Amino acid sequence: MEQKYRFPPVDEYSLENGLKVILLPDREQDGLLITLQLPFGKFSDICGKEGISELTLNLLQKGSGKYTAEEISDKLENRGVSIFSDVSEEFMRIGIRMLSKFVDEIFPVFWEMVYKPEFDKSEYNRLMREMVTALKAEIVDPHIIASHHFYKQLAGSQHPAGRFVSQDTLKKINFTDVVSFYRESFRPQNSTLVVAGNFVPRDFKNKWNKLLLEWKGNGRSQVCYASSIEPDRKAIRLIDKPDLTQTTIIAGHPVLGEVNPLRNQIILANYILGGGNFSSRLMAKIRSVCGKTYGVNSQIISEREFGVFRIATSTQNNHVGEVMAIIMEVFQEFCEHGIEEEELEKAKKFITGNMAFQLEGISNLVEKILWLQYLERPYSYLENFNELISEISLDSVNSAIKKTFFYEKLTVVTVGKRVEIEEDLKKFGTVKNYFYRNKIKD
Amino acid sequence: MLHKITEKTLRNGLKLVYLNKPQAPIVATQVWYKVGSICERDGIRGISHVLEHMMFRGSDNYRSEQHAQMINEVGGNCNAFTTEDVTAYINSVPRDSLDLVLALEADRMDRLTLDPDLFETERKVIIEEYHTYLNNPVAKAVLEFREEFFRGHPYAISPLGTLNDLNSMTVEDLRQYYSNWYSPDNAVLVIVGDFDEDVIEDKVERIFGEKKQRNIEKRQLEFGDHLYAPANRMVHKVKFDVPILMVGYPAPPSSNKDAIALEILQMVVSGGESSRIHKEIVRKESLAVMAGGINNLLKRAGMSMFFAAFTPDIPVRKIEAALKMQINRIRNEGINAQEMEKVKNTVLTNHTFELYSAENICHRIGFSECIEGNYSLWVKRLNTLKNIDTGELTEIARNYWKNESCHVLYLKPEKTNLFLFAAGLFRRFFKRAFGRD
Repeated sequence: MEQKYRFPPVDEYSLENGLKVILLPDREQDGLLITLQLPFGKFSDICGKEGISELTLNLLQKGSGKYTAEEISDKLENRGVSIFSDVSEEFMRIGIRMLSKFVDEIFPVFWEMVYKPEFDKSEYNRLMREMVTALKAEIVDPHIIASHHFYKQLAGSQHPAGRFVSQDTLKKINFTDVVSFYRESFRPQNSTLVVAGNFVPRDFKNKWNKLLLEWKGNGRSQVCYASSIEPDRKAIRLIDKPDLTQTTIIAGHPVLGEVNPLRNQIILANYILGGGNFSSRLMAKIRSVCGKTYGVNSQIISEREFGVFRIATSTQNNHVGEVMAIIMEVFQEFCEHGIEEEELEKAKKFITGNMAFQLEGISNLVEKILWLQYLERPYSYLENFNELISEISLDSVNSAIKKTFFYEKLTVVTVGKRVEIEEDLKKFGTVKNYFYRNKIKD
Repeated sequence: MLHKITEKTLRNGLKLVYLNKPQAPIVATQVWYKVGSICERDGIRGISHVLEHMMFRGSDNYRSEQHAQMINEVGGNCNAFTTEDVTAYINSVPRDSLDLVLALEADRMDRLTLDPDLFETERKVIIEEYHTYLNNPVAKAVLEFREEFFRGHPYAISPLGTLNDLNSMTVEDLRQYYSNWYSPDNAVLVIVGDFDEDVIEDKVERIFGEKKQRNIEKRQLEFGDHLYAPANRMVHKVKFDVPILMVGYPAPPSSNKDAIALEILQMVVSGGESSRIHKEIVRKESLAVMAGGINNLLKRAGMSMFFAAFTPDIPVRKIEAALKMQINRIRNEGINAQEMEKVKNTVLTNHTFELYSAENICHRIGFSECIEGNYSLWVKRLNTLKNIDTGELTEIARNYWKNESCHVLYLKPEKTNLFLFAAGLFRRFFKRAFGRD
């Protein structure tokens, strides 16, 4: 009998400005975690100006009505507070991690950054330089190069998944764009604030609800949930990076995102294919038996509607042909014959057993709360999750595999030394050549 | 909570340290062996790490990879890592599976199979791992920097070892190494999470108590005081577009009483946007785009490292001078009360958030016990910090961060993009002429 988990009680309410507030008191330690989730992310970037959401979110931290950037970092860091921000595909987050005893001093500083940012041109320039430098630094990372090409090949420039921040897109953004983007998109409606840790909800409401209402802005933010894409086989992309002794390989195709009614079946199936580390077929074959890689995995990356299935690995250039052949063989077998009962039982045990870890500590709890908010799911979804998984039959998983995974429609991207891998790759289809420093095209 | 940490040493020398933390129905278990790359000799460089991999390749009662698979089957995760000083094995499982973890760890403590065919396969895996590092020009350069920094000391060679030795080592080398170092009296077992405290000692005694101590006499490592190599200046041309400068100063071993002082100083110089190098070099002077630092405090020696990433139009000598100026300021002026307050709050906050996770607590206990000398140093860290005399910090900075012992590595992009270079010059001219960025 699978273990059933109960989500801890939360105090949840919406303010008149549309902001949803979720309070999760937890006395385990003296920490406090405050996170704001906005209902849009990279996919909502202005076309051709990708990176604007990230730039805007980061710029919030560089000055507000009362404080300069330097004063903000001094105020927060002197109290040991760390600020974090992250832009995902369909939502973004900004928050602070602190000792609860400093909340009265720190919360107003944080909230003012959100609702009353003071966009400063010199801070904007500095941040822009920082982002450009970070992008330049990425050029050494074959996984990032491969990933960008993969999404470009799979989705194309017309789809938000095929567009991403680059030095070119940053150049097209100007200071006024950022200010307008904030005004038009950063709105309380549909945003969620989660406060978790050692505090008393009643006190929080009494002290801060009024301040929370200072965040004005009518209407909803411009939210873009990317549509799903039909899988379609394309030529193999070979991105030449001549200094590499090892080739990075990504192979995959689009799948339906979180809205997929077969999503849990797909998660179980993927665990067996490549999601289950040493318990997966790909790892067993490519690493444990052949010793041809340090790591291989397959993932289902899901937004609401859009999703991607992808296998990723790296291997020395002289093993590329062999590793590609194993990937194809294992994946074909998986698509055609599905999985076995024993494998399914092991996958179920992992997924249900692992739930215990996902509810440990306030960081994990906040993560789960915000994920449920994004998907508009109730807390009971998590509480009943293990039961849902346990009831899944072998037939339903194998039927889902047939409907979801397509051996003949894999998009393959490789980053390596062209002269050493091109001939091997040609055995698996038409190869189109690119150079790692060049602009990524459809 | 931490005052409830309990320790017990079994008759065979295995040290058990445990803490009941019932907030989540899980238990983290780690076995730390006091063996790392420092114990290696020429010819077998990298063997500690190879052995770490082979620990998943089967023992008397479990076949190859079965350890990881069994942990996964209960919903848990396992992993391992090798450093210069230790090799640690990590398992986190739902609370009902603690017995399984202990049985698995006990079996591989003295009953490892070390099958020659599996070793040949795993050797290839490790060489693939080695190539992953080689393919990152920055990681590669940093490895070379530390090699130079620790020249003459076993820390010079990273736990990855050398490609030559990885290719030439034999199963017999592994057997000997395993037999020398994997012994209960050279290990610490840490258990943190939701388990029955009343029976844990008996349980561990029952499962590990019969393990025999092995080859103690071969485990004597003798190192004199490490004399750092003379300061050196290295320029590496890298296929990378961002110039980076790193400076490294000698630092004490992590068990040394000065280690915590160095941690404070490092945080003041390079911790966050309120740090001195960020305020001065990034913000005020606009020389670097990013700057930071890290203390690499190992068991027997250490390195304080600071770095700055900048644009090609900035002369590297300016960056070096600016970084050293901040170090010299610390040496001459020490730190102020506000900076000390920041450090205390930061350490306390980090510590508070570590305590939410059984695995993090487990790691901190293992690290402190095996690297710093005793887990209680971590537990008492906050008190130690409170009692630090800020006046002493200046003296400690002077002792370790000496200009004459500063190693410098400049990662110079192989090609300079002329457009970016010109754009950078223009930006700087514009700033000087009109006083804005």
